[in-house]
Amino acid sequence: MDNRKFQQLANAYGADLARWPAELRSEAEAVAATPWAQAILADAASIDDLFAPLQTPVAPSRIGRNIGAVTAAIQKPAGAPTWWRRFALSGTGLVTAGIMGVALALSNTAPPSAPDQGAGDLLALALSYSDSPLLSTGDRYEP
Amino acid sequence: MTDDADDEALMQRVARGDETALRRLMDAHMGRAIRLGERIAGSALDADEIAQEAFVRVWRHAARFDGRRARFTTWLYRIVVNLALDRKRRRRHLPIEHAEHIPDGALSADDVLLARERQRLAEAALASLPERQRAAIALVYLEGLSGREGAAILEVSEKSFESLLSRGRAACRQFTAAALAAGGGSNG
Repeated sequence: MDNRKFQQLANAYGADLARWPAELRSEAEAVAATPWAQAILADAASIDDLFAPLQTPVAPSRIGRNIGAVTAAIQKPAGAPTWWRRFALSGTGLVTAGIMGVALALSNTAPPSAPDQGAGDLLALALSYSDSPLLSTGDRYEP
Repeated sequence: MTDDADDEALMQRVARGDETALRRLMDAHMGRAIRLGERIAGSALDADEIAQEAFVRVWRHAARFDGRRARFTTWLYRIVVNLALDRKRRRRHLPIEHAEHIPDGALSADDVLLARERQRLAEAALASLPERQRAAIALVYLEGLSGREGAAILEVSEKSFESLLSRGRAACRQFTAAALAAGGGSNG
């Protein structure tokens, strides 16, 4: 490593060779022992010292507040489906809607001698399916 | 603190919707995300919002994380840096928050010797830098990242990143010298 390269790296990475690119560190250490390089590193250290006061840790209470805010945010996702959208989009909702549609169609075509009995049965069937675990959609919309 | 393997394992759990895993990542990295955001954005309030938004994005986009391409910290810091730079650009027309610290002759030699003044001087020097130089300095000197990692986060070559560091350090030196001269001091 020539002096120019050493100076460039000191200008960028400062006096602590541990910050320098790992693949150049052993070469740099060999140069660093020379008086010329020692002066370069001493000068670089004065700038390193400027940044030292900025390495203060963040207060735990502040970290805790921010973690709490993120936790609250992810538990209340924006645009969460409303209950009726969840119902409509779920398998249960689709099956229920289909059966109810058939029931309504039958109620309009059934003979007057058996008014609405078949439709009523189908409606009851549809509502019973709406809570069936067989039609559960898993945790797709669960928080 | 977690290591890289832990972070990757936790990210796999986060991608499956495990809030406990996210909590562990936040315990390990929230402090550094806040500090990095504050150094780049120049505002504590902005830094809190940036760090929060970064982890909300980690939660929402965990499935996109690929541990073979980047460490978790590199991925997280890139999100933080981009959020902080975006915020600075949106507010460019406003006076910078640290304007009160720009050397104006108010600093005395005695003040500069005090730890509090040293911190204010360092904050002011950093705040005076162009945003990408400030980000480079914060990544290497405050967060301890390598030049290669910093370059990956800012999406520049290592040579360009070294140039950002060199120019940033030179500007900080000038700023400090001006502050000390204005305060009548000879050294700090």
